[in-house]
Order: sequence, then C-alpha cells, then structure tokens
Amino acid sequence: MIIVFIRVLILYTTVLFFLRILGKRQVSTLQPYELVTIILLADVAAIPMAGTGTPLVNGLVGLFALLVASYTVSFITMKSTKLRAAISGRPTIIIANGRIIEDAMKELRYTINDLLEQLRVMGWPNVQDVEFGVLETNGQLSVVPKSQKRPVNPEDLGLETKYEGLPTPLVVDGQVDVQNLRRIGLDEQWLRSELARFGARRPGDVLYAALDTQGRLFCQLKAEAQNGAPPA
Amino acid sequence: MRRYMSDFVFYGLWILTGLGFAGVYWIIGAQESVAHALTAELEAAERAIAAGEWSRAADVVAGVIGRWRRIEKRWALHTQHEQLEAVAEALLEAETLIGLHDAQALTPLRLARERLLTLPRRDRLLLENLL
Repeated sequence: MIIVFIRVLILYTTVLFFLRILGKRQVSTLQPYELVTIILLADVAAIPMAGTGTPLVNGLVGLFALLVASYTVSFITMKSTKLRAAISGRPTIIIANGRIIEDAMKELRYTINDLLEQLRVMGWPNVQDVEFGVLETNGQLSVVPKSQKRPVNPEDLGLETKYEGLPTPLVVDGQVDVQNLRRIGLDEQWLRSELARFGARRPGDVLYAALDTQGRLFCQLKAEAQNGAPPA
Repeated sequence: MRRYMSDFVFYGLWILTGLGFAGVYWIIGAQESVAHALTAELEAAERAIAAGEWSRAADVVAGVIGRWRRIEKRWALHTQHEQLEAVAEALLEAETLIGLHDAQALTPLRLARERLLTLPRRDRLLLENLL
C-alpha cells in the first residue's frame, strides 16, 4: 500500500512537471498531437502506478519518451510551416459572407447542427450575421461577424479612451509582492501606510490589494481582519 | 536568452535521450556479463550432479543463490520483478532437489540458466523485442 502511494506521488509529480514543460496550451486549447500526449500520459503513468511488479523506472521512461515526442513535434511545428500543416492541419473556412460552405463542412464531417450549436454558444444565432466562420486546428470555431452586426466600440463612436493597463497586484493572500512594488518604484513603507487607510494593521490582514494604472489602490481585507478592524 | 530557451530544452531532451540509450546499453552489457558468469557456475553445478558430487553441486548452487539475491535487488530497478522471481524460484527448486540428491535438479538448473540469459536479451533493441 505504501509503495503504491509513493509511486502515485512520484508519477503525479512527474506528469505535472512534464505538463508544465509542455506549456499552458497543453491544458487549454489542444492541438491533435497535444491531445495524443494528454491521453497517453495518463495511460503510461497508470501502468507502473498500481502494478508494483513493474519497475517504476519503466513508467518514468515512458513518460519521458512522451515528453520528448511531444516536445519534438511542437518544436518541429514551430520551425516548419509545412510540417505544422501536416501535423496540426489548417484552419478551414466553413462560413463565408453569411453562407455555409457545404463542401468544407462535408470534408470536415462537421454537421449543420454542430455548427449552429457552436454559433449559438458564441452568441451568433443567425448564420447570415457571420462574415466568416473558421474552424481552427484545435477544433474551435472562430467567428468574424459582419461589420453591421458586431458590437459598437468607442472608436466607432469617436470617443477618446484612457489607457487601461493591467493592475499590479501588491498583496495576495497576506503576502506582499515585493518584486511588483519595486517594478512600479514604490516601497513597503508606502504600501503599509496606504493599507492602514483601509484598516489593515499589517499586510497579513489583506486578502488582495492591487494598484491600477490610474494610481487607484484596491484593497480587500481578510474576513477576520474586517471583523476586528474599523471600516475603510 | 528567453528566445532560445525552447531550443535549449529541445536539444537538452535529446542529449538526455542519447545518454539514456547509452546507459541502457551499458546496463545490458553489465547484465550479460553477470548472466554469463552465473550460467557458467550453474553449468559447473550440472557437471557436479552428473559426476555424483552432490555436496559440490550444493555449494555451487548456494553460492549462485547468494549472488543472485544481491544482484536481484539492483536489477529490480529496471527489470520486471516476476522475471527475477522466476530465476529465484528455479534456483531454489534446484537447491532443494540437490539436497535430496535428485538428478531432476538438472531441469530447474537449465531453466534458471535459460532465464538468466534471456533477461538482458529482452531489453536489447531487436526487431523481435519491438514487435
């Protein structure tokens, strides 16, 4: 039992580590070769996990082989567009100028129902509102709406907008992000005095604090600090 | 630096793979030399049985079992445990039959020899192993 437990821990850590190396795309939008890796990773890891008669190194070598294979394929697809097309396929236009391209649909074995479902999910119930519909290599449908049908944006209205960058997190779960503080040219003393205005006696009382690009500090105290502290 | 990280990882993985292949071949070579040494001793035990020298045969097999117990622990890191147990079983059976002065001890001895020689062969990059 202990052996199985430790094996599971070792293999879990290894799979997690390998997934981190393979990158974020591996767990969100998957290319065909990435999906193969994910499917096989679980199977290869499972072989020595429960079978204590199988040396653990066999499972680890299998995982390593998958890592090498997957990394090599992604490396090749990055370097060569021809191989990228061969391995991952090409995006296919299935709607053009509000009309479904039947041949493309048949080639992809993509049904009208699948298409309509995807369009509804994306908030485009009418096909005629779509300028282009592209089925991406990872199986996701991308929609370019007709210019008359897309939402109005400030540019259409001729409105000036202020720059909106990313807010900089300064305290996350009571921990001060010193690196972020330094990056924006501030120090911990400044932070403590600002947090005090929100009723935080120390950074440990703060659940989340961030400074936006307009210089506004957002601060939310932890529940236990809120109960004992004066309102901000 | 960040730009070339992907290249470094790629080449690093293949260098590791190459080193791993070399390591596996080194292990197979070491396994083969140990297997040949042990089978030579088992052949000596077989000759002793044929000559009716039971105590010598028992000593030789006991020596092989002692060595095998030490080797087995290391080989268990990369070899299927049941294959290792199969060798141990054949050796123990031979030891028991030799203790009873039973000439049928030759059968498990030959079986142990064959199993010992098969172990490293199974890891070799051969078409028969791949398919």
